[in-house]
Amino acid sequence: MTRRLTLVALELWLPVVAVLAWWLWSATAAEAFFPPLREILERFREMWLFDKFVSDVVPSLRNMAIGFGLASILGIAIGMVLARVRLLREAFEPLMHFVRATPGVALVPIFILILGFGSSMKISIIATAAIFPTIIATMDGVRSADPVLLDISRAYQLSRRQRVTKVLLPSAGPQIFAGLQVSLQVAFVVMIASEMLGSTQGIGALTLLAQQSFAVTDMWSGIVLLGLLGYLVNLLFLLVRSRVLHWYDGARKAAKE
Amino acid sequence: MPTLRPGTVRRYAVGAASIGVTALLWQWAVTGPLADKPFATVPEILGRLRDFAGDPLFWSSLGETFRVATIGLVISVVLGVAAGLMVGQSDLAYRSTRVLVEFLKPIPPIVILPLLVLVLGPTGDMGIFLVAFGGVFPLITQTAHGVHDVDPVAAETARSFRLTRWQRIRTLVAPTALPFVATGVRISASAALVIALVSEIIGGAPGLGKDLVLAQTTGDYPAIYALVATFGVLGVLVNAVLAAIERRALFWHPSVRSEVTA
Repeated sequence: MTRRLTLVALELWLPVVAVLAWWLWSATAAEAFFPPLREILERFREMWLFDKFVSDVVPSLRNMAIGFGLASILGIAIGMVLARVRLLREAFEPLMHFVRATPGVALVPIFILILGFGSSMKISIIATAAIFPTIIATMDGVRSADPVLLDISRAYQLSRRQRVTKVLLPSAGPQIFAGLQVSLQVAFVVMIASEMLGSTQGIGALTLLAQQSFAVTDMWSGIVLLGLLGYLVNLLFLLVRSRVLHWYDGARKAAKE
Repeated sequence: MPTLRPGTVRRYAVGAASIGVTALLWQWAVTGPLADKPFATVPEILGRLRDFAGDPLFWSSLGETFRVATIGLVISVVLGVAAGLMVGQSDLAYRSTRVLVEFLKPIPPIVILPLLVLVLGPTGDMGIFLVAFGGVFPLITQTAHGVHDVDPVAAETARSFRLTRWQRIRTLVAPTALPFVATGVRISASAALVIALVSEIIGGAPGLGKDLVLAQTTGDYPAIYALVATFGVLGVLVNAVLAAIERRALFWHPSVRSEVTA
């Protein structure tokens, strides 16, 4: 018990000291760009809980959820098809690596020109930018499936549907989730970027507008919210991943021991 | 000496054909059904790329983007490896910093961009800071992970031979940790170009990203597509160069050796 407590204390003392140091320093520093932490947290509560919650936080997260959802489903489906059909794979691979190497944020201006500043632009650019890591990871994962597994599923005369859902998807699971995690990070960045470039709605837009109008405390409260969201979205993803892939993590752990 | 096998020839032929078909489809779409939409034709885009090649302004923008990405990357490598070595070698340091690093790592640099623009202005320094911030966390965790991975028997042996601290780092820690560090460098390097462009597109720092926003606001469609194509080519080149460097620097490591024989 004491050992446990010591470990927890060991892990937590530095973050606690860091926040305390920030609090104390910013309270007396009188630096224009670094307002007291107390004021930032106050603004945080006023802005996000819940004045701007429905008008800005919900649309941001909804756009990201829909965009990432589309990218995941389509990305896994396309990756599966490309892995199984050689001609399509060879035709699309060079183009795909080219588009994937293009930063998603650089595509935002084009999407704004074509679709304007609304939600459809934001959802489309999030889905477009986020789809490629999932496609490529799914393709690699399915292609590296154990050939013995494929032979067995043929010997047992599994239907195409069974082969995909019971054999190929699970065996590619770890790689698919690695791809999905990159896609999620891209989706989060592009969500912010699509709001920062000329939009007036969303967390990113409010944060950048606050910076441009020198509302420093508002800007900080936006940064704190985006930082927390970045952390929480990743945490949520890891929870889902460990639920779905518990068999894989268990097998790896057993193999290590 | 690599030889061209029939499979490789076929792959290149199919890839080239699909790029050609895509270009034709694009040309057909933007001259037909999408003619009144903000697109540019293939000859316009290629022509603009040719103009870029002779345009000193383009090259100075490209140079600036590269300067920001490279300096930022170097800073993140130096700081990240130093911090990773410290964190990896001491259990106390590892446990103390774990929560902080794990909290900051998934937060993309674009989040702190407004603050940096406020403090440093829309400058190259702002971009360098942003690139360094984005690259440092993968390097810290990768280096610490690599140092942790040192074989305990080898570590005991080093202790019984009374190797000095420097000898231990050079002969024991470095060879074990290097592949992990290389992975970290590759992650941070491919992010560096993207983050530099973000600092220009959203933060307004000079460089190719700012040129893109200028082309968008003035409605210069061929320039927009030519610039985005340039980003794609740069991204592909950076990834290829990094993979080649990694293969060359780590030719002795099992992960690379198996890649070559496969």
